[in-house]
Amino acid sequence: MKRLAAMLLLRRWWASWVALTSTRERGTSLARFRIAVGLVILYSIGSMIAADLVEVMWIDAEYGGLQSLSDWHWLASALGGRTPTTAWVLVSGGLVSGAMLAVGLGGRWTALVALQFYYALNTAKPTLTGGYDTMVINALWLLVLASSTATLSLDCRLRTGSWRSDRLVPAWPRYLLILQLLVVYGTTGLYKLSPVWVPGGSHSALWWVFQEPTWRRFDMTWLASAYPLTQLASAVTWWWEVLTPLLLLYYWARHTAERGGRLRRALLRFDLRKPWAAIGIGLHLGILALINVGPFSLISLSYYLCLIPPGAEPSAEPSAGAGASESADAGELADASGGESADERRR
Amino acid sequence: MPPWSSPAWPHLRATLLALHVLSLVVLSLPDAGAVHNRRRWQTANARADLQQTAARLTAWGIPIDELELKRRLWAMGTAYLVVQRPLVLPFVWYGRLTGSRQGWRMFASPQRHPAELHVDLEGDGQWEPIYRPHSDRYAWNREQFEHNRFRKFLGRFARGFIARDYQQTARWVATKAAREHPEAPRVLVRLYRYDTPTPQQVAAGETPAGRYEHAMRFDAEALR
Repeated sequence: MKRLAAMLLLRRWWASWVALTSTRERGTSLARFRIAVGLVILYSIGSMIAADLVEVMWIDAEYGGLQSLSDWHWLASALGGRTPTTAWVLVSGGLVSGAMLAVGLGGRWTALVALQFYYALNTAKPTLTGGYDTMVINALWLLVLASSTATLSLDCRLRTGSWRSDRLVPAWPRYLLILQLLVVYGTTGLYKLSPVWVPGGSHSALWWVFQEPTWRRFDMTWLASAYPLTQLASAVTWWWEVLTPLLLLYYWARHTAERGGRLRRALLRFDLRKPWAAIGIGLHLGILALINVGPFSLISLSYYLCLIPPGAEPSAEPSAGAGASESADAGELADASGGESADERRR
Repeated sequence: MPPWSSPAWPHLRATLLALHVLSLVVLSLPDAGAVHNRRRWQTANARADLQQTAARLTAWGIPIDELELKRRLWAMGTAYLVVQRPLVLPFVWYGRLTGSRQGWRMFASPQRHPAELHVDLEGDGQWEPIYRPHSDRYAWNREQFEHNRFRKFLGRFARGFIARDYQQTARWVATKAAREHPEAPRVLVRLYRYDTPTPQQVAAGETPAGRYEHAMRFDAEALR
């Protein structure tokens, strides 16, 4: 009997998962994200050209570069190793594909090409890359899987004669991008085990971050007079990061809201996504203003664009093969996963 | 018939997406590079973290010293990696192929003993500074050194010193300095290490006294 109940439960979970991954929505959010990622790539590579660093960091010491580099990425290897020619081919390819991504030309193929160029550039040496490169590369892979040029793109203009389209696209890439964001913050919180971060410690972490010559944009010793504020900001940052994965609970409660229950009602009392996003945006704007971590805040904030649901009626694609009741579920699921509220959908 | 018009497609897609989600979560867990990196465990930052944590635990009635805490944490890391390694194994190829990895340790243990790159040239028998971080006076090659990638790279020498990386960097810096200053007979590249002042020390007007490490002198003529 217990086995049967477990089987039924698993079946229900699987049907929900299939319905969730079959949800379709308007492509506006993914299009905004694609444009932002394209611009971040242009900035990331463009800033290297502006600082005359392409032939310093992206060519091997054998050819006059700063470090001995790896050419394990197939493209770097196919182009003959980390030579100046390879570096400029990768840089040019990255810029062209980044621009094409921003204007939305070439669909997912452009994202695939941009991924190869950017990944090849940033696998030269782990110590020459940053967390933001990983975020760009993750974004590009999900854009390969997504239909991100359905609207706000040159592809759309060529297809329909208009820059905008209401064509529905799979919603799951957007859900995966949101999940990516939650995982990034959750794991970052896991890494922060130093006594300068954790409760019971000094909460002095941000004081040290702001004083570090590697990061600070300008002299930050003035913060000494506002030290308690930096302690508060450190505590908020730590708790916010560590608790971020719990936002999934909120999404689950929204998805299953019709089942009722005290816990769901408590979780749904406030839209927790709003304060969460407000803290996150504040944190990244603070980083952008006070410390120099390149395009880190820009690519992080690009992911936030996926939290803004496209204003459209979600529906399950006809080929989901799950019947009318699951289509209705999919609508709820889209709503649960960052989609608009029931009121908004009714409008 | 294309696969996506088959009734089985939604289930296949759901399976692939479940695998992606699993991969994302598993690959984001701290790996051996984060848990068992001996170089990082030996940094001044890590030692300070261990000392403070041991002192705090002792104050809470769990008597332990820094060495014992380090030994236990290392053992816990070993036990964790016994589980983490096989978990990650099936997803490594996927992460490598697509770049879908995540290991973001930014500011995990903020630097409290930074090391700055200092560059000097010999002139009139004395060393003259040409580059100091955040200095408008000694700002040679600032555009490159102060790009975020270069700053981040230089900052790593304080977190886990890799001799080969430093030697290559020092040689590259010295070569550029020698070529751009044809009159200089010698170039000196070194790291200036200091303890970041606490807010109280800043308020009291104290300036940190540092020390030089890893000084490398180059014959400029040989580099030109």
